Amino acid sequence: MINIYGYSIGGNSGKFEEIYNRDLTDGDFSISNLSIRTQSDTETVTKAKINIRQNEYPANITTDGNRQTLIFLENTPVMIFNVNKLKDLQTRNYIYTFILTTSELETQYVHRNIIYTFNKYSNVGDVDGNGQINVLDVVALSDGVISGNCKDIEDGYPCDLTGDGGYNVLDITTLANSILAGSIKNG
Amino acid sequence: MAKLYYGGGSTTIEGSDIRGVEIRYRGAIEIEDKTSNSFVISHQKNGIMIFPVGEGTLNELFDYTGEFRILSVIVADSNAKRVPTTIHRVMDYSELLTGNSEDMTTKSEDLSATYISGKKVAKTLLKQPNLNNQHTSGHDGALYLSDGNLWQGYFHVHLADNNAMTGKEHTEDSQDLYYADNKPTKNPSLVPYNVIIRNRKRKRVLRNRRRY
Repeated sequence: MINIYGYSIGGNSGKFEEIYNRDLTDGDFSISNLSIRTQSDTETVTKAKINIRQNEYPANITTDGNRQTLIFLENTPVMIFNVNKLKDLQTRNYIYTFILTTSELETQYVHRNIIYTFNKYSNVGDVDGNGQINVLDVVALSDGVISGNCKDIEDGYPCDLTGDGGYNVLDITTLANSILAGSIKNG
Repeated sequence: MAKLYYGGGSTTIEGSDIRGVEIRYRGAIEIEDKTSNSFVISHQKNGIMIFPVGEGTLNELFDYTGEFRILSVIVADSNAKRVPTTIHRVMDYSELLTGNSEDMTTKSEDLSATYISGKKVAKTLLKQPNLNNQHTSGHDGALYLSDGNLWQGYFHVHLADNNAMTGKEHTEDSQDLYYADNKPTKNPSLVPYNVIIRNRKRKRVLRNRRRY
């Protein structure tokens, strides 16, 4: 019996049957570089495919002792959905079917339930939306507060540090201090 | 390109259109703000940030006493873009006197001089710890007194914990100010409220999903 003990998608890895993609802000979302790790003391995977929307994509297989890594979609990104239609923190649930052929010439159908959770907006404090939070964001926020342009930013989420619905000097000092104190995380 | 100079008790930045500076350092200093009223200097842990609350650009930053060794710096221009910056330590004569003459041909940072200017201080502190002269008329957002009444008038902000209090400057009569729902502006944890709200929302979504 082939045991699947881990997987990763596009650099995000996990042990469980859930994976969370963050900071997907807009456009079509494609999956690529999907890999699963398998383990068996009695047999090996000789051929593997993933079935997505009735299309099958083969895997490259690497073996290390009784463990194997099956890499799917390395050069074949598959579009899943358009995130523009999702709300913040909305989840999408996909069941991927892996078809594994073993050294015992058996075929195993393995279903894995993968949940995507979307963070549509930039993180709080990431005013320039580049994934890093530093003095550049404080200056951008300050300029936005001074010029009154913060409301033009969609949802204003990154700029409203204090959560009071306004954009003001308290947001600026809060952002500056939380950066210095390390109490707000990058990315 | 910008150049940050420090040493001999003062810190300046040379460059055009500089609007913000974030410094990571080692040591402990007493900071005297030398910027204009359009800028604020705040410090937490091993970081110092000079950021704008008005128009203008930066040149003189602050004077200091104590031990100060800058480890890294991030500089922002008026477009909130990063400006490549080099750090230059300025040695004063008294520091050189404590070094060896043969060290004069080595790089300044390799000299045996200490990074101390004036007397050593136990921990970093700001000589101007508050942001003064703020007024609710130019403030996008409501501030309330502890009894729930809307505050309209001058206030100041304590940079250590973001506490907004009544009055142009701090006095014995200054009162704490609150956001709506009696949420204090004072936030010693320095974790922004909206980060807390968002994390709670995320946890709730994930908990519901797992339960499902």
